Amino acid sequence: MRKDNLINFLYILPILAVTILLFVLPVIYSVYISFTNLSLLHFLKYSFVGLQNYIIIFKYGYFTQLLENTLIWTLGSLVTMMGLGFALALILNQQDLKGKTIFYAILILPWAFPGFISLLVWQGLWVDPYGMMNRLILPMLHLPHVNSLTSTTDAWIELIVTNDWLSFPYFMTVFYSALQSIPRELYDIAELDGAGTFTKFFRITLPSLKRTIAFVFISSFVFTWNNFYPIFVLTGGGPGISTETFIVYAYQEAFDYSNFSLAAAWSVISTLFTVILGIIVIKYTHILESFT
Amino acid sequence: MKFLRRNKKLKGISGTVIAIIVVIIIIIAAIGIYFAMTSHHPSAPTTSTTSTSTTTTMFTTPPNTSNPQVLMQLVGLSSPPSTPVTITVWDSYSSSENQAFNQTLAQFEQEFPWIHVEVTYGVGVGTSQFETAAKAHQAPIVYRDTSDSGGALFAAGLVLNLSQYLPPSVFKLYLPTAIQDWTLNGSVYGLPDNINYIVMFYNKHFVPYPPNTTAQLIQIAEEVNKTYHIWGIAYGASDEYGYRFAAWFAGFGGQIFTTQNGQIVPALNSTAMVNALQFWYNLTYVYHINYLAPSTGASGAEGQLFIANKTAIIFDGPWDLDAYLQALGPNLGAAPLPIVSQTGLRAAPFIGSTGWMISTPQASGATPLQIKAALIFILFVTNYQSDLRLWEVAHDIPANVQAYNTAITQLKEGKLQPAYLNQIMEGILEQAQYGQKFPNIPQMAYYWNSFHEYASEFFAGKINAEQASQGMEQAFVQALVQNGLLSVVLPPPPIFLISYALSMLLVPAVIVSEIKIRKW
Repeated sequence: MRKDNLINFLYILPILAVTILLFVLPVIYSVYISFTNLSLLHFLKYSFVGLQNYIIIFKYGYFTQLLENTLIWTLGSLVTMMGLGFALALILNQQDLKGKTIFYAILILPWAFPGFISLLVWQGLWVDPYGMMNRLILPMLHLPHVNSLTSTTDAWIELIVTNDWLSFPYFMTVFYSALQSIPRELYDIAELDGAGTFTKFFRITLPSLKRTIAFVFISSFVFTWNNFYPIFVLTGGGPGISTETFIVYAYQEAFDYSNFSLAAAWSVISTLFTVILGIIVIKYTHILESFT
Repeated sequence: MKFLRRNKKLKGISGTVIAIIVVIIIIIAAIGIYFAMTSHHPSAPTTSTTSTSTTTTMFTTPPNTSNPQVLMQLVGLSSPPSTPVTITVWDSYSSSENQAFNQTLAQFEQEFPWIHVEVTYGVGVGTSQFETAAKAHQAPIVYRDTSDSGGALFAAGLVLNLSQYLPPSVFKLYLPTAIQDWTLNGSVYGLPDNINYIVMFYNKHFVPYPPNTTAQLIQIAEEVNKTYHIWGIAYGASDEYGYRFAAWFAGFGGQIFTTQNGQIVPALNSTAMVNALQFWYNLTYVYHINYLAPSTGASGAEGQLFIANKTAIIFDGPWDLDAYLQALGPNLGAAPLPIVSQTGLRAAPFIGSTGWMISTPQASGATPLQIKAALIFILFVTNYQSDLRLWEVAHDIPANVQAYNTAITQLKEGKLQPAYLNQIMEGILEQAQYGQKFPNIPQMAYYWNSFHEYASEFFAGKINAEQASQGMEQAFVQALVQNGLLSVVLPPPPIFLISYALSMLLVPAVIVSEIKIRKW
């Protein structure tokens, strides 16, 4: 029995080692330096300063504003991305849709481009009034121009729309796969019972996808919360700090101000939020049950 | 039964997890408070003192750094060492500058076959990459960056104090303006290879003569707008971090720092800042003659509009000259920034400098012999021939006195080709008379973001000029306090203490409930 346990342990040893090296140790190091004064002026010789960095964050930092921004960014992106992905998956799942493969191939095109390059292209598309969005697409849709330099709302629109474009293929693919796994017979029986489209959707489709939605929501919530590049490339957190999130601000503290300890403290706070929110979501969606 | 088991299991999981998190938070808080009570307050910044003098020969007159023997003597070597030495170099030159640098490098390796140079090309200026490498004790031995970034690295103890390695006569080889940019608290921490600043580039097709005052600037821009239906000016005041805006701030009578009770403190909250911000706001939103470009430089929106003949005037540095020369040819003009009509003062850009530094052994792990080789290298790449080559190939303004004088002579004699380049370079060099010293004190590192945050909010219409001025000063002060560069005591915020006290009270409750759940 003991020998079996040892062998079992050896199986998980590689993943354990990778997790410890790439996740646990950096987290411990971050927590450690968040209690020091490691910065440009205390680079080679730094010391413990206790809670000073956390005090600075709550006293002088933009804690409330950054929390609000991070929530707008995460929920704004997540709701629209999931909605768009789900809607497209439902369309693709129609049995009588012709050219399904071609549509699917076209729709996953955003995945074919490296994310960073796509962001640089989008940066050019949003330039007001010369970029294609403001010169062609928005006027065509009778929508007003979007200029992230002159309006916070515009900056959020720019960020969320771009993020939606970058991410919807993932959601579409996951939901499409899940939809295909629902037995066809359920719909046939429901039709025999006289169920309409909405009844089938709310009684069969949605309940069958509950766990998929929960899984996608949790994983994407954490990913979007920590998604750095769109904000950094498109608005740089501006105007002012109107679109700064915890992670972008932590990056700027570290690499613009060279204040590594304060950046670590911001990161610790951000991580605590994701952990707590993750636990709440796990508790209410019962997602872990599907893995046990 | 199954339902009951599931609920029990879930309650168990959530209770355990919550208890673990709360306990972790308490432990962290307790450790933090313990160290807060026992730790020392952040010490005042000190500059690097790491050095051992290697100078053995006294030079009272500026030495000839083009002579290999003289270079060897300067670092205390009488003959080449028996074993070869490798030095690592991070090069931040542009592609045109690299053409000149590669020729210099080839010559260097010929003159000093015992020094092998490993160059990493295309390193961006700024301190972050260097710091990351230095943290791992793998910084390059030789590094090229701007004087202000260098000042921050020197204050951090990551680059050598060259004053302790080279005789003072060496520093006389460089323009006083340039060497001042590389001096902090009387110590020289780098050798300059150019001086740089912004000028006004204009398209002669639209602008008949360069404006000498801001009143003329507005008049010309309005005329251009009306006649050619293009932007008079493209200046992304909202996008920038205060490098170019500093010129206008000075033109309105402002200065970034002042001294109070012996402490260097920010001076952004002033009428000058309000007026300077309002001036550019009016040009953008009232007169509609300035395009608030989202990106700067030749490859940004400003430069692209200028290249495409869609704006008549931009403010940029000679580092982007090649792009504009290729696009506009003889239509390109360069002149100093105008006098601010409201104050009678000229807009004065930062006169900065780029140059070479040597990492401390703590940052790079360099041996004493590698340090000597690095000293020879930076003296060689900033000597007369190397600097003149940068001027001739890439139009960098030389920091080496002799190279600078040769450049001026070439200009006076109209020797630059194509011929219209002479007039452009004259305009660029004229700007040097109206600049301001680029602050290289470590406090400067915290100016950029403070300015950017509130200037961008102002140009987005979220706040007025007065609020922007106050806000950027406050943010600047806070950044200095947070980094130990201003002595202000930080009292703990009530919310933090309350949350700590609450968590202390909650722990027993959570543990008790956890025990109850487990029993159930």
